[in-house]
Amino acid sequence: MKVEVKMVVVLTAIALISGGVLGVVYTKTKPKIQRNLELAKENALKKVVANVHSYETKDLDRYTTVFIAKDEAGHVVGYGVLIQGSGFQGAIKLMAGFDTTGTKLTGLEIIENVETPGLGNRITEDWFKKQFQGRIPPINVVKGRKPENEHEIQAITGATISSRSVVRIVNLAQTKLASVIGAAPSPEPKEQEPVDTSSVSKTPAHEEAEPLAQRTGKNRVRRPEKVQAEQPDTICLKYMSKFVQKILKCKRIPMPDSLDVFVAYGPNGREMVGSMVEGTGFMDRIKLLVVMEKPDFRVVGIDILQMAEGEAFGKGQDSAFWSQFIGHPLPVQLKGESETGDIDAISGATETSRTVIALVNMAKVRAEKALTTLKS
Amino acid sequence: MPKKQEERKLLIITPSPHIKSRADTRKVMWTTALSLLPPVVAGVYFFGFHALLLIIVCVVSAVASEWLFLKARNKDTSAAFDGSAVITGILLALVLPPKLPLWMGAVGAAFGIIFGKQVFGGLGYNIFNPALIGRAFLMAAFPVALTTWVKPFYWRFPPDAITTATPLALAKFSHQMTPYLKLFWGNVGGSIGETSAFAILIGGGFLIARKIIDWTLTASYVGTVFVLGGILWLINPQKYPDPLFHVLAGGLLLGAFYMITDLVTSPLTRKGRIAYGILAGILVIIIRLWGGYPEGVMFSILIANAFRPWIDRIFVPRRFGTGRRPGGKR
Amino acid sequence: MKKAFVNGLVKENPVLVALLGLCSVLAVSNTAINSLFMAGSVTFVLVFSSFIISIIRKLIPDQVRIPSFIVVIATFVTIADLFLKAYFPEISKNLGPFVPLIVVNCIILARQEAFASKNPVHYAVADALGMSIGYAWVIIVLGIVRELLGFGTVFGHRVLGSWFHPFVVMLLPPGAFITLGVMVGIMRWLQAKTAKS
Repeated sequence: MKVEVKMVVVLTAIALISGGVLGVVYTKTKPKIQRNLELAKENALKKVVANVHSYETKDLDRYTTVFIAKDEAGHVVGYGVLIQGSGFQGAIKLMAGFDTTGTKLTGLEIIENVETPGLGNRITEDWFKKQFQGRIPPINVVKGRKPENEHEIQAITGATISSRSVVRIVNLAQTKLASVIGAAPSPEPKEQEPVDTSSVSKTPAHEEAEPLAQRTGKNRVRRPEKVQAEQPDTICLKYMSKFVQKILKCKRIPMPDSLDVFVAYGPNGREMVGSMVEGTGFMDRIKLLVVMEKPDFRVVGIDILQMAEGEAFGKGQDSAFWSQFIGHPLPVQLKGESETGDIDAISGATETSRTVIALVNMAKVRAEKALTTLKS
Repeated sequence: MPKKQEERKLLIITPSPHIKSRADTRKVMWTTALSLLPPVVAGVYFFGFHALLLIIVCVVSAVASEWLFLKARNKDTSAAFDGSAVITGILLALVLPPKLPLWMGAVGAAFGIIFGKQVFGGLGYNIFNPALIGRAFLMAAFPVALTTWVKPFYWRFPPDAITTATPLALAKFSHQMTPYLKLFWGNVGGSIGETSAFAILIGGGFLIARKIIDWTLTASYVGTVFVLGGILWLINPQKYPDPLFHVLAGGLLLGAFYMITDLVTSPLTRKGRIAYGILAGILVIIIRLWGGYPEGVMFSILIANAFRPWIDRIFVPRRFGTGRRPGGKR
Repeated sequence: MKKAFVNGLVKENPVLVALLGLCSVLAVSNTAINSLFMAGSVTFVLVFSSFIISIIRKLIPDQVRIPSFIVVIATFVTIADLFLKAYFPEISKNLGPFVPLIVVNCIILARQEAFASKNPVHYAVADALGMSIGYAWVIIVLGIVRELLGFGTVFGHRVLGSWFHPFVVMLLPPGAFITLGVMVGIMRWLQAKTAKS
């Protein structure tokens, strides 16, 4: 046989035989492999949603699949969202479990990750995953302290970026799920950046008093809290009259978290709403009273009820920064972060500025909430 | 048996320099160790007894590892006491967090000496700065411990209120500035030796006065960081810290005077050193502003170390006796 | 035949002496169990490929020998990969792309080219086994060291107590390179010693 012919014959023969053998092996193993993949997803779903008897899947996009979990009777018991996003070292694939409303988390399972072992990899540890149970997106990551409400989880020490990535992906999962089943996320301000509290004492807020006094050496700016014995309308007048000249009627709407909302009615049908808001600045708590005018909730005035004197290097009390808010309808945004930014940050104190903006925006949300309770 | 060297009539060729002064290796090393005293004192002042212990442990571990390695290889062990291991030990401790567990410091020092210096052939043959190799290993091995910083005078605070972020981390992740005066004297968080610019300048000045290090290398390194940082700051002051902050915060000054100037790992010619400093300076800015870490000094010097042979090939030392220019002026 | 077998264990160890197949050795050796499965996969592929190629060696024209080898090797690699995916899905996920990458592992091709295609079957298989075990002990030792220092466990069992602070770096590429470097260094030192005597 001529060499050229032999080459072709031999190669073809080898290829054919190999192909044949592989075909057989493939067909034999394919069902098992498929089942393994499905099992992995099923197990993950069962870990994050309780009482799953059967489920339906819905592919949303390349990276997301929604699992509608049902019990024996066929009623929906919860949702699982299988979603992939980017972490610190590479892709993170996780299954987030949600309750029947699609707003609250029932569990979290990390399916795939390539994070640093011993650090980012710790997102697979039970304590980290357990934190997500009962949480409501949008979630924020806090460092150096325990989470204080259902919108917070604590980051892994030394693996902030991995922790934040997981939270980002979970928040996204909720948004995508909501778009499918029509549930809106709970109205918390989305701009609230995770605050770095690692430079402040690790003890809970109410014990911080002493070490902070040592740090700043000065007293914090603190005006006296309202006295409970006073009549509600007097309190309302006390706070609102700073910004509203003629008040015909003033009402205080007590809120479950003790941060009051006030409604003041002026002549010509003017309606003003003032909401107290409280959050954590860079150094300590910041408490404001934001007064807005309906209907577009434009800012009439802001009263600084509490702010550490050293906050933003003392520039936190600069009128230049605060006066920017006056006249703007809410919500506002930080300049430089989007094309439609309204507020310039305090130079050198972007973190504080962001917190303040988030708080001011939150005032509008709280005001709206309070007004609806008023109507009912 | 070969004849004694003097009896053989051979043309013995050695590379320059041919005239050596009394400043031999030992003397240079111990003078450098002396110049490290101000940063050491400042570090112990701000960070206390544990810092002092850490420095001692690193030095002992460095010298011991060198001695053991030389012994295992049947080489002259007196080289372990020539001062270079002592300097490696001190420098490593100065770039470590003040409350680092002592055993970690020991491991880092041993690793730096063995894998950063001895496996290459000992003093003069290492490509990378051994102290920084030790630190790089510790960073990779114990990332949490190596990024846990405490406030100066931490013993005055309750135990769970002592941690802090370094000025660079504050600037990068929380967009908060630290006052210059604090940065200059050293009353900030950071590694044992990097916080006090004041102390480093004293020690560094001493080294320059003794002509042990080349001031142009230090100047080009710091200068590049200042200029590049300044340009970026002018472009966007909200986003980028100002150049003075770059110089005073973090380990730049410590690296500029003590690490990048290491005689073994820096280029031979002055022009080469200037280029080397510029390269490292650019890297510091890139890592600090766009990299994942808040501090870029360690990596900038290690990467520049890797480029040094290439720089030496570009900036060839002048050969005496061939050029057209009269005299031996560099 | 014994010589062919023993050769691959130490003297011409494919990893420590010939420095072949380093990619897979470094990448998957962060735990001992992964190393074990990797070694198993490589052994399976090497032994069977050598077996087949040695049998048909006289039929393959010289000009197409490389493609022929590759097709045979790839077939066995795919079989191994499918097998792992079906019966050991967790391990398969850990080993990731490195099982399919055995196709380009220099060790396999080098043995076909240098030995299996030129020797009778029993020699070829002996050589394949020797080389496989040579690869295996290196990657498993590396895996044990890295797992021990990086997690404190060996094959999943905790060996070092809670006093031990794991060296994270051992689980990352630098740790792999350094450990392998030390092993190569020790090998060279042993070789120099035996050469002198």
